[in-house]
Amino acid sequence: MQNQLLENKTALITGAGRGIGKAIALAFAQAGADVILVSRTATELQKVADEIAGFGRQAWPRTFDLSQLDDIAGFYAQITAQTGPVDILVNVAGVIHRAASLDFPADKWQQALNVNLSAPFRLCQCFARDRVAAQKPGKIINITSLLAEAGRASIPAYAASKSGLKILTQTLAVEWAQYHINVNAIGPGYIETELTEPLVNNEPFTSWVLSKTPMQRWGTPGDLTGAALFLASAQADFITGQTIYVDGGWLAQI
Amino acid sequence: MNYIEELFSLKGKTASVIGGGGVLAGEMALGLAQAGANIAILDLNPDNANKNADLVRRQGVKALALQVDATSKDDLTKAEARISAELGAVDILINAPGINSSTPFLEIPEQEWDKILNVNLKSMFLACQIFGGKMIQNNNKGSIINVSSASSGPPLSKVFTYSVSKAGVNNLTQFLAREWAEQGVRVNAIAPGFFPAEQNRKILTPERTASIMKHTPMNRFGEAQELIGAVIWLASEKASSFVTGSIVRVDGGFTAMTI
Repeated sequence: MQNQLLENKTALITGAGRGIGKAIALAFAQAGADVILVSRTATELQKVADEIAGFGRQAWPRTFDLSQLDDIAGFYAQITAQTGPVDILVNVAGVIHRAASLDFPADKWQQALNVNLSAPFRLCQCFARDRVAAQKPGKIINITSLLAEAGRASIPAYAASKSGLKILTQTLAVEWAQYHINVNAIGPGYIETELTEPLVNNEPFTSWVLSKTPMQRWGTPGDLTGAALFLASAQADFITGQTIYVDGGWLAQI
Repeated sequence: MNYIEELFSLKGKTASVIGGGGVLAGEMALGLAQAGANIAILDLNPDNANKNADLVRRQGVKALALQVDATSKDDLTKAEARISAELGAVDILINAPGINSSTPFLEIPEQEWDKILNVNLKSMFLACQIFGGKMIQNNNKGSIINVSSASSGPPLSKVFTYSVSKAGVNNLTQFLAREWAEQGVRVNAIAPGFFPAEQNRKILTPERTASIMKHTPMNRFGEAQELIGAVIWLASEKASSFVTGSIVRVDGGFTAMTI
């Protein structure tokens, strides 16, 4: 394996201000990549950018609200005009709203579909159009979820958007293999992040998570970086259309 | 050691590769050696085991070639003892013995069914008992990687018994993943798509190849070294710490098109 797995690569990572996106951004930078960091919160992005500068790599923090679907193409064109072409796209940003389906608010449904499914699709389009025009290969990694595989109560929009993203991953993989664009997903189990902190601290919920996770622990964002680096690298050139589950064994049991 | 080396390095680890005399498993062994692991190559064919052990040794690691019938509990037990004594306790087990046949379903003799099930599935059950059992007994973390197949389900035409055996491999993988998760022994599978290897060479007629390519978005066969990345990632405790019970498909998009 070469010393710098992602040498001379530029990656764009959404949701890069914290949690899983931040962990992947820091891992990619340490593997030699320059990184475009996208999220809604400038202060968080700046901290990640400072850490990346400490590794001697370039970081471009860019605030953007991914629910503004019609602005995505312009945003993408504007960033890449500054950074040069993107080799690796990682769609991490996601929102979750928990409410009984009988009363699930329409606006929360639409927001989840927009941020978790439509925005990644628009970004995949922007990325692939550039790659195809330049006749260059590319890697896309979408972060899905265990909940793309199994029904659970009270998260209808999250589950629908994430399972949509899983099949979108397969569709784009099949369609873009001819352009040497690999499209894969990582399906995390329950991961301890700022987003899930209230659940981690909720004793009954944590007991349930541990009872369903053979490894008997919550995952950490760091647990996902190995899979992300692997999928982003040339070592995974023959893998496309797959969801790699990083779930402590959750899906291996009933 | 830089970040990537630290994450994926297998320096000082011991890996046993069962069926390691073959083309794909031999390449996996070579990859593990390049990542720093000492390697035992176990194969029914001693010439192939020796040949691949020599290739591994050239990477500057220790290698041991052992003639082993993977369906024999006695052979596997003796091999484990010798590997532990000469290379150290086994941290990584690759289960890759495999045979195939395209006998039409109604004509498959019982002996053929038994033989394929024994070599492809019973071997993995035994190796997990013996090598996995030692990992548990020694309180060692470990990584077991079983070689499954694109035909593990839904099955391809013509390769009935092989497909049944590989479905069994997936099930065994998931069962043991749960069984041993708390003890830190991770059990995963790699399901290769179409790679030119000895098991499928005689089955790959031009018509079958054309049909496979229509169903492989990358429109090509895999190359043996394209399996190395998945093997090293799954073998490394740091890189895949929360991954167990996964079936990782390296297939050029084949299963992305499969209903």
